[in-house]
Amino acid sequence: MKQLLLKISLLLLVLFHSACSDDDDCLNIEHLDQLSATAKQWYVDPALGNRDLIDSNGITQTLVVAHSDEYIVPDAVEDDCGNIYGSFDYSVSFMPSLSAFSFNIKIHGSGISEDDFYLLMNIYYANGAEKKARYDFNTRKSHDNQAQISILNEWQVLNHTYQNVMEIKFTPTQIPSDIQKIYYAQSFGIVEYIDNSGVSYQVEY
Amino acid sequence: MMKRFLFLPAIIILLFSSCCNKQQVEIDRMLLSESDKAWIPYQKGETYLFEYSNGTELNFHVDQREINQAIMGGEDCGEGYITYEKMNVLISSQTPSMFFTLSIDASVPEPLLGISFNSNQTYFILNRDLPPDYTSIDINGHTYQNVYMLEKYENSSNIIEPEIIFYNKTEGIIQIKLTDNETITLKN
Repeated sequence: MKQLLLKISLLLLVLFHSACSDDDDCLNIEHLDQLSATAKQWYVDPALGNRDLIDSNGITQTLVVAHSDEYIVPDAVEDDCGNIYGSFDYSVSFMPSLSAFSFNIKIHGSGISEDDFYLLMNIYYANGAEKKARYDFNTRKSHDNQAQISILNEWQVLNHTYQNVMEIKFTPTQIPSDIQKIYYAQSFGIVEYIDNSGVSYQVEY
Repeated sequence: MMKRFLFLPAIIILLFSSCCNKQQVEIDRMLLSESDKAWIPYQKGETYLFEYSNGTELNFHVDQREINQAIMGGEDCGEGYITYEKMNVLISSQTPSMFFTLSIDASVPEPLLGISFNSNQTYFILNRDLPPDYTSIDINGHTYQNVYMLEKYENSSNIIEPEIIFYNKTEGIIQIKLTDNETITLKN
């Protein structure tokens, strides 16, 4: 009985210590600033407006900036060392004018966790289906297995070369007209996407 | 103990105050006639071949042809309700991924046929009481009879989307004219 009480006391002591440990209490401001700057480079200014989109069959439509939003909190987290760090969310929705789906891109950053700096790409289909991909700027890879994400130094679309392009390869699904790949250029947004029939849709610069 | 007895009548009154002992009565049925239904020729499972103005072929598949019954009115105690029918037909293409929903609603006073494009973002209306805009018209080398020209309900500038639809009872959608003057035409 004494041994059991001793074990429980030790366990409680370990739990209490881990909850109150001082090791990670100070924010690494320099690192957070780097992540914040990197994340914001991928923001797309909605004022860039609608773009023409032409597919590999020669059908033209408009990639419409359907909605944009930003939410900034200057003091989202405060540490025990007197540091205060904010959070930001920028989101833009694009809708191809002849297609029954839309893209939503969210750039998120927060000092709460280093993993809290990411780009989230959602696709909403008119039939209610939805898929998403998330790139974490800290780990420099996809957050989960819903997509493989890599950064290409450059990508050429309709005779224009874009620098720093995120290539998102989605895990295939059963959704009709499912989007399989998206190319997303830094500061410009979606420059190309490819559906499951292999048809490529390219944005005119 | 006394308090419990005081609460009991209050609970009973509350329970029965929300009850309606009058039967809900159907006062009318607005059903679609065979003649109404014939305005949309598409049958579920069929595929229609269309052609974009540059020659690219697009397959439109009839995914749905449904007649649903709904009720309006009858929310208040003793109020009569009306049963009505609504037909929805959905045709879609894969590339680009787009769809049209054609609908006829028996509860609408005017005999209308509505065509919405991609989740109601664009809407066209045909009044079946009106005579066709063309008794005969030649479209892409083919002559069609009794054709209605439907114009988009609202205009949004600088966006490429359907602007005009040519429609008749026999073929359904004959041609979709886009705002950039390109066309998607039924291929015979």
